Amino acid sequence: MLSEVREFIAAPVPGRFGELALRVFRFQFERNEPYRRFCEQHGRTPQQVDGWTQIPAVPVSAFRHAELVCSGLPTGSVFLTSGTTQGVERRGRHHVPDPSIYRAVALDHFRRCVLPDGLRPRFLVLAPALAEQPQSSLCQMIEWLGADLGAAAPEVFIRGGEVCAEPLRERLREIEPTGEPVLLIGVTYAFLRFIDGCRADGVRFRLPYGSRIVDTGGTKGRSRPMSRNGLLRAFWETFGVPGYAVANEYGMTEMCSQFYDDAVLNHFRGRKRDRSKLAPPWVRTRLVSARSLAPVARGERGLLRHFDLANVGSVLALQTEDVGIETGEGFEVLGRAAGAEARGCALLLESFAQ
Amino acid sequence: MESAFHLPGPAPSRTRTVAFAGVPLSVAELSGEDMRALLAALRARPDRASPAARARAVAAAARRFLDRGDPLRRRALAALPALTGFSQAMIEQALPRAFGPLRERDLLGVATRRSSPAVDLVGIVSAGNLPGVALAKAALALAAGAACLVKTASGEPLLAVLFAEALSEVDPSLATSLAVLWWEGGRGACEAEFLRGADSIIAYGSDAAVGALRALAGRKVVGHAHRLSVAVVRLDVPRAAPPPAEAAALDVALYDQLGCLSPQCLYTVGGSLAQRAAFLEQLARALGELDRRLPSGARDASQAVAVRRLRDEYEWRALGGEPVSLRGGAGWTVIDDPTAGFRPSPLHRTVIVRRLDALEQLAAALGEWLPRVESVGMDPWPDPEAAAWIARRGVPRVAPLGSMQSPGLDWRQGGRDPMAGIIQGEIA
Repeated sequence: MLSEVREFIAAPVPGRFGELALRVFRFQFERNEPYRRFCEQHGRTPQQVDGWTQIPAVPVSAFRHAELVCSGLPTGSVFLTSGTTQGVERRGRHHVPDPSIYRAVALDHFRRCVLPDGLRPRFLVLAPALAEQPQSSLCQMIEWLGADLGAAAPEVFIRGGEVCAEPLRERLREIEPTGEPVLLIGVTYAFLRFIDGCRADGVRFRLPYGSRIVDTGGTKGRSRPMSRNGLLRAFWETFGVPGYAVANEYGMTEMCSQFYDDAVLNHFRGRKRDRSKLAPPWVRTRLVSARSLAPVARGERGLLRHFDLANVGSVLALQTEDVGIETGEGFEVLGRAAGAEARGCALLLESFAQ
Repeated sequence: MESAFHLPGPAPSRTRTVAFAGVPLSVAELSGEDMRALLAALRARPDRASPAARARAVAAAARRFLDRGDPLRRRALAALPALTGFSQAMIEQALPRAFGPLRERDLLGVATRRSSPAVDLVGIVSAGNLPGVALAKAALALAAGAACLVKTASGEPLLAVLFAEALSEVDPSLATSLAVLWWEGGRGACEAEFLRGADSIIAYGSDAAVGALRALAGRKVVGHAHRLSVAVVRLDVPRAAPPPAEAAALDVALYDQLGCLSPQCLYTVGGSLAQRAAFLEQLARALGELDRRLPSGARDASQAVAVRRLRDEYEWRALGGEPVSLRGGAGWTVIDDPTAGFRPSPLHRTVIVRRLDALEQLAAALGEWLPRVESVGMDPWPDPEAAAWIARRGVPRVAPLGSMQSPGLDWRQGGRDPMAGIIQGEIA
């Protein structure tokens, strides 16, 4: 099964997605014990499922409570989710029996969405080094991207959870006159901290033409909230990188594949359209109602449900709590469906969730 | 179009239309000067009737909402489902609970129990979407001889207005003591004048909302922040009948569990596994039945996801082999978690049933949440010893299962005297 998925990723045939997804589902049903019990409990076994959209989707929170991994595969890698304050205090564990698949999908879609012109920029990283957080899927991904697609070894500007602002400023000053484009990649809140510091000191950079920014993770309560447009303006003001060269990454530990804004790709192809998140060919996304989990009509908001063939070793169908809406060739992420307000006079769980 | 205001005296000079949950209502726009004039008019009210006469008039106005043929009741039933998000059947349950306790004898009894005179002008800041949250306090204030200005909540801006209308028909003189208004909270000269001009403010809302009012208006604010309730089903004592699962289900389902008297967690105490399993089964069946008879109301995406998140957690913990389980329908969830402890529910008829070996474990199970507990429901009832033990833990209200949501006028909400903020001086 792993080799079939690997082949599909190397040479995707869109018409084969559904058939392969059903075979991956059967494989996972047979080999992933907790997932099989979940499917049986919901009356959705391979005999009862005739299309890929019907494959039972596991809530991403399930990775906190069960070892969702297929038996009989190599141990591979295990990535941990970040901590949570909701419910039972556990970190989710995503088993990736074949990291080469994870690596292949990470490189392929990044190249397609962020470096469609074949550029090999220098990577400046605003995320912890893999050595500091070896079980972070994000750190692993950035390590691979920098090593394979960068002009030199990636340079990391976060140590012990702190942004190394002065060394980064110094490095950006050195880069400015060289004319060699760079790629700044990292977590959104770290970018914001750096930008806030620069603004306070009146510091601005004009990075060489062709430079790009990839941010991920949103602010997640770790810095002041900022709209996407506000962030794009801040990137332009502080780094001199225009919005069309900025791609937000959307991904999660429980899923091997990632989504990127299509802004860079659109610019490269000379297309003018609103940015949306683009899925790789081995992923399909559907929107479902938060209340019923039934599909929503086109144009309506819904929770994102992903079907990712690259998750062949764990579970391919994932139900998220992220609210999105279909746009262009992809979707837009509108935020998490959390933070419910109390309507009555009772204390409720969500009031204490943050 | 209904109005979201009722003012004694002339009509307001400016009104505008505001959509509340998509329902357009006419709203009075008051400047700071208008508010000063309104407060002055309330203070200059002509009514100086006896307490008994006032209680009689308030009770008569309240009775109109219990009369199925009354046009005011029909207007409430027509408008409140869309405004509050509750089902029509729930509003029919809510009206007798809001107005039933406003009986002449009880109003008079509670309003005159203490010798201190009433303040001249009480401000009430309502909150949330539960119908008639502020009505009991307004009725007590009027019976005690105070004038009263109710600021309604966006979640339920109508019922106090209809009550004021009823009062103006029953007793036009007493009705000059009551004004009901909505404005967008937290800003404007109108609110500043209101907070400055009222003698006391009885405020409902979140900790943050009550805290913000207290910061502006100081010690004259009597705050009722968000609270929670739980219930105890004793299987460790001899019983004549199985525990009343239907009664427990009704307490959970009323107001879709959004009230501070709604039990978020049920604790079974002692008993055999079979007894507990039977109770859980009956509770689930009763909630399923209520979902048909008393349908749950609207839930937005974030509320639905909060419920789903808890259900997912327990489903996967069960799949992982933990001794927990989940029963649920479209509008209700019963979680069996036999460990002691407490966590707030995402509400909307989501109840966790936990287990204690002995009643004395309740305080430890609630832990840091104990000071936020407003009510404990109990079965069997009466159980004076257990009720006294719970009351000594600082819980303001102990009630039989099935009656948790029907407090009388003497309810010491938040542990305070029901007349706090209505009569002069500080009272515990």
